[in-house]
Amino acid sequence: MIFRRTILFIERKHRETVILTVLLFLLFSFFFSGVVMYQSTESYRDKALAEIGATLQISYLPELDESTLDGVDQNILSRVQSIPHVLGVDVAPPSLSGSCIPLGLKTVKTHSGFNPEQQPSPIYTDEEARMESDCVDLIGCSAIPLRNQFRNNMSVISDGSFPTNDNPGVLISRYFAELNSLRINDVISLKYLYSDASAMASEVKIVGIYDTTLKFEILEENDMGVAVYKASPYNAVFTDFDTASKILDRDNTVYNFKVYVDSPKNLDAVQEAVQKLPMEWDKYKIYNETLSFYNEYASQIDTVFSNSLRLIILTSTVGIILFMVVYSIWNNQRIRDIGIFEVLGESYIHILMIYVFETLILSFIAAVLSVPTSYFLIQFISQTNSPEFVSSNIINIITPYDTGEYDINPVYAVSIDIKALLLLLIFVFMIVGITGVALMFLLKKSKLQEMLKAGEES
Amino acid sequence: MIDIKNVSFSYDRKRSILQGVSVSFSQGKTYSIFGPSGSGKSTLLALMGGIITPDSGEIWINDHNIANLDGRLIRRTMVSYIFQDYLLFPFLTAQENVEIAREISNPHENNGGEKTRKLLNELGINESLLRKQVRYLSGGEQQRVGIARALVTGNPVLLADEPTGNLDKATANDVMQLLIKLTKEYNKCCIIVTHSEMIRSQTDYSLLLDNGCLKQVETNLK
Repeated sequence: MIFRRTILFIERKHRETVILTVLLFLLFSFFFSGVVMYQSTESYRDKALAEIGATLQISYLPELDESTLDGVDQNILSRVQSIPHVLGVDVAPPSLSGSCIPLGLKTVKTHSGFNPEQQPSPIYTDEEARMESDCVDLIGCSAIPLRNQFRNNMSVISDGSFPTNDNPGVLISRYFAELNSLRINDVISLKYLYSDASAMASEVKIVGIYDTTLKFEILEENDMGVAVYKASPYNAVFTDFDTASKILDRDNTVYNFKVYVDSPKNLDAVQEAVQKLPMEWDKYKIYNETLSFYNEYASQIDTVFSNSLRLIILTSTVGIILFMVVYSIWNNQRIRDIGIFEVLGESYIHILMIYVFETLILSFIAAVLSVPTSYFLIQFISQTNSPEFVSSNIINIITPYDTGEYDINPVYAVSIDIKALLLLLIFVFMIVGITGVALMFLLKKSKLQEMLKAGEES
Repeated sequence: MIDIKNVSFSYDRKRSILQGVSVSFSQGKTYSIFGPSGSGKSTLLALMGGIITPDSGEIWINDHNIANLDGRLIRRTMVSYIFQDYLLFPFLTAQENVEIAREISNPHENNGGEKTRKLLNELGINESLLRKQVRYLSGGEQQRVGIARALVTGNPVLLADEPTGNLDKATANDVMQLLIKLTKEYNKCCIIVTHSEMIRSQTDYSLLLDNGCLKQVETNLK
């Protein structure tokens, strides 16, 4: 009976019903958009951090030269390795890599995007570019499994194993292997492109082959010309630290190293522990690579994050105030109606239920409508506010090619999950609760004769 | 039916409105209460409906001391009000206004809708007016709906506060005649606060209330 009466009131008071529903609909739409954006940004940030990884880079000061340094003691590296939360230490980067000619073998030229043959390079001469394009990129590394593409499972060993100092050799891509009919345990000859003409090529064994989902898209901004092929993830050849030193003709002294940590949250603690080790800290610097990378390329995430938080707070505050103001426009009418109910002898709880049900029903209609509307609202906000952000990814900003290694879905990709819906539901009940409490206050405080007089004034 | 025993009432315990009023009202009879403005007429009606409580004295309705009852219960089961400005839900139809009152008083009554319709028809609210929102009805029509709402409840007492105060003379006369006729038909006790000589002449008894005291009781009964 009470529910039927509520429906009757909603039907008959159409103007009030429509205005309040529209207002609630706008309130919920903006609130829900804010919540979805906030949550999407949160997961986007987590994903970005996971892809960027948690790393500390320890490098010698740029004004110094390797010849003036003794290198990092092996004992120090062992102690770093044993610090809690440290996953591994890469003792090679960034210097132990270089272009190598794979003697008698072809390099993979598969790519999408622009044709580098039609992109003359301001950096390389034609001859240099051509030579580079026939090279593989030899990457010396003591922690290959922790490198981004392997850590994030974009590249997976399908044959053999990772090269290490105890298992020396090279790890090549499936594309490169198939192009040259190479198999595990085959031996290939690599020669550093910039070594002396008289230098001999090094023979290395293939210890692993990896499959990769990485793409190689050449962008319009490519300034490497055909030399860009060297950067293809299909032409990457990973090797252990000692083999790389030998091929690139470098001594195997460790000058720089990178520390992989299990979570960005533990970076500060690990950094503190590393800095306590007895190194020549007047010659070295340590920096939070994750933080600097994140700040440099993903700071927009935080902007969107804080903007969506602002949207939620602003919408909730302004919306609730506006709703209460508009709701109070009909206050005299409402007080009078409550007075009539009281004169007719209706119980306190029934009167309260009628008006709480009324707000509840309007709120639910508004909330249901606001969910699909939020979808379009988020699209609209994303299109008008930051189109370049939505369509971009981190790697686009820094290289003339895109391997997809740092592709991250746009922040505004609408994923309406149960948590967002639950928050909307809580917000709906909050609005209903506020009006219910206001009504209870009204019922308790007002005298019947005053209520009926409110009717005269309206 | 209603026994008012030595009732006094003042606002904020300062301004005395009623002083030791004692009077009895019987079932099936009509009463008018008249007197100058501020004499306590409407206050007496409010006391009988449990809207306000007396400072002293007792009010008994059908052997119940209403001081022991909740005001809402009194209005749901004992007394119904008819107001000068009708106090209807303006956005509801005539039928819906009356139906709500009936449902509150007799929530389990069967065939109540038919009863409502019949009563409204008796009061001159025809089928087309039944479905009109009351805000679009004339004053006379709205008051007829107000009377129907009071009668439909089955409460034995009708309390009318200046029921024709907003109506023209002809309409007021029609409405009063209907009210008195139906009061008799439904065997109610009807107490009307009024300034109108016409109403005084139509009720069974008329009571003069002056300065918070009951001064005179006249009867039109032969």
